[in-house]
Amino acid sequence: MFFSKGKKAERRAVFEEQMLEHLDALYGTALRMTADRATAEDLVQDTYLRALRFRHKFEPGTNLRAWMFRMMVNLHINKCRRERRGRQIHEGLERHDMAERVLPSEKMAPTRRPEEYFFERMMSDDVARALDALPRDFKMVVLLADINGFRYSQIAEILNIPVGTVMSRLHRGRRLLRESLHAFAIEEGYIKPTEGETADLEAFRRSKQDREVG
Amino acid sequence: MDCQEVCRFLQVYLDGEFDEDDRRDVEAHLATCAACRARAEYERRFREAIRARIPKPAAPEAFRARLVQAMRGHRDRSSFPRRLVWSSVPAAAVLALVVTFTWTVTSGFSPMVDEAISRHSTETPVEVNTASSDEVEGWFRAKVDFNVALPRFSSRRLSLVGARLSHMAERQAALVRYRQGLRRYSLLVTADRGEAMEGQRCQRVEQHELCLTERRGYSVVFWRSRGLVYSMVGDTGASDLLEVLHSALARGEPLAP
Ligand SMILES: [Zn+2]
Repeated sequence: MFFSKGKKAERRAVFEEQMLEHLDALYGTALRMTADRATAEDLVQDTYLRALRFRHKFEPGTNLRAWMFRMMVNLHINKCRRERRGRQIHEGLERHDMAERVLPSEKMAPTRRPEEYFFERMMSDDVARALDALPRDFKMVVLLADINGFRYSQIAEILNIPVGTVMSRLHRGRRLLRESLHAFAIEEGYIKPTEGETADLEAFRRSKQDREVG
Repeated sequence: MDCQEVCRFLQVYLDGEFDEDDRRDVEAHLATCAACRARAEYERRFREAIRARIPKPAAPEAFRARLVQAMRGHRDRSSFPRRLVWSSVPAAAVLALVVTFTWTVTSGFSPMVDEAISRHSTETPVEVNTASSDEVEGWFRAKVDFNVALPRFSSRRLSLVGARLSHMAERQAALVRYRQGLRRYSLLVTADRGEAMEGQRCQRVEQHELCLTERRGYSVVFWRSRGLVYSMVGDTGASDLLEVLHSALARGEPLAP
C-alpha cells in the first residue's frame, strides 16, 4: 500500500500529537527514576525521538502509553548499563527472581486501629523521599502501578518480567514503602514509637546506610 | 476462601486484577469477616494516600517546547537528510572546512534559532555607529548586565556596522551588525543561563562547541564562551557563515577574547 507524501506527513503529525498526550506521565516517572531534572528531560527526549524512529513498530489499537513507557525503561536500563560498565544492575535481581515467582505467604498483618492510618498525615515530600529510597526494581513497579495505573500484564511487558514477579515486587515494594514512611513518621514526630517499632527504625536506618554505601 | 487466602490475595483483589468469580469469593468473605474487612480498608487507604501524595509534576513548558522542536528537527532530517550542502564554496575550501569541522549530528533544534533569525531579519536601526569592536564593547558597558566581549573577525571578511540593544530568550541581548559586500550578519550576545544549545549539527572546534542550523534561507551558529552565549546569523548558507567564523579562529583568536 502506498501513501502520498502528504498523507504520510499527516499520519505522522497525528502520531506525534498522541505521543505528546503522555508527556507529563513520562516526565513525572522519569524524574523519579533519575532523580535529576536534566537527566529526566534527556531520557524523555530520547524516548520520543526513538519512538518516532520506530513508530512503524507500534501496533495501532494497542496501548501507546505502555509502549512508550517500555521504550523509556529500556533506554534507561541501557544508559545505566553503559554508565556502570561491568556492574550489572540486574544481576542481583535475576537471582532472587526464582524465589519471588511464588507469592510469599506473608504472615497475616494484625488488624489495624484507625489511629494507625499515620500515612494520611504525611506530606508529599515524605512520600517522594520514601519512594526514592526504595531499591530500584521495587520503585519501578510501584511507580508504574500506583502512580501510572498500569495493570500487572502491562507492567510485565514494560519491564520485561513475568507477571508473578510484578505481583511480588509490587507487594513487597508497597510494604517497604510503608515501613519507610512509618520510620519517617516516627522521626518527624507524627507518631510515637512503640518498642517493636523502634527496632524497625533501627533496621530501616541500617538498610538505608547499606544502600548509600553500596 | 478463608482468612489466610484472602490475606494472601488482598492486594491482587484491590488492584482489580481478579476475575469475576474470585472477586465474588473475596467479597463474600469480606461481608462476613470484620478482621479481613479492616485489613482491606487499611490497604485501600494506604494506596489512596500514596496516590494522592506522590508529586506528579507536569513537564516544564520550556522542555515541552524543546521536545516539539526536536521532533520537528527529526522529521526534517529524515525527509531531507542532506539539507546542508556545501555547493556555494569552491571544492578546495569545502575540503579545508571538512577537515577542520567534522560535523556530527545531534538531535533537535533550539527554539532560540527562530528568535535569532527574527532579530537578524528585522530592519532595526543601529544605536551606535562604529567600525570598532572596542567602541561597541564600551557602549554596551552601562547598558546591559553582562560584559559584552566581541570576537575579532578578519576585517577583510567582515566589517562592523554598529550595534543596538535587543533581547533574546526573554533576556537582554547585545545585537551587533556586520556586513560583507551585500551580505549581512548579526551577532547576538546574551548571558548564558546554561540551557542546551542545539543545532542540526554540532562540533567542537578548538575550545568551542559550535552548533549550526539552516532555516528559511538563513543560517545560525551558536557557541558559548565565558558565561556568554553567542548566536551568529547570516543570510547566507552555512558554509559561508562557517568560513567567516573560521577566519576568526584561523587568526589564532578565540571566538571571544
Ligand atoms: Zn477473614
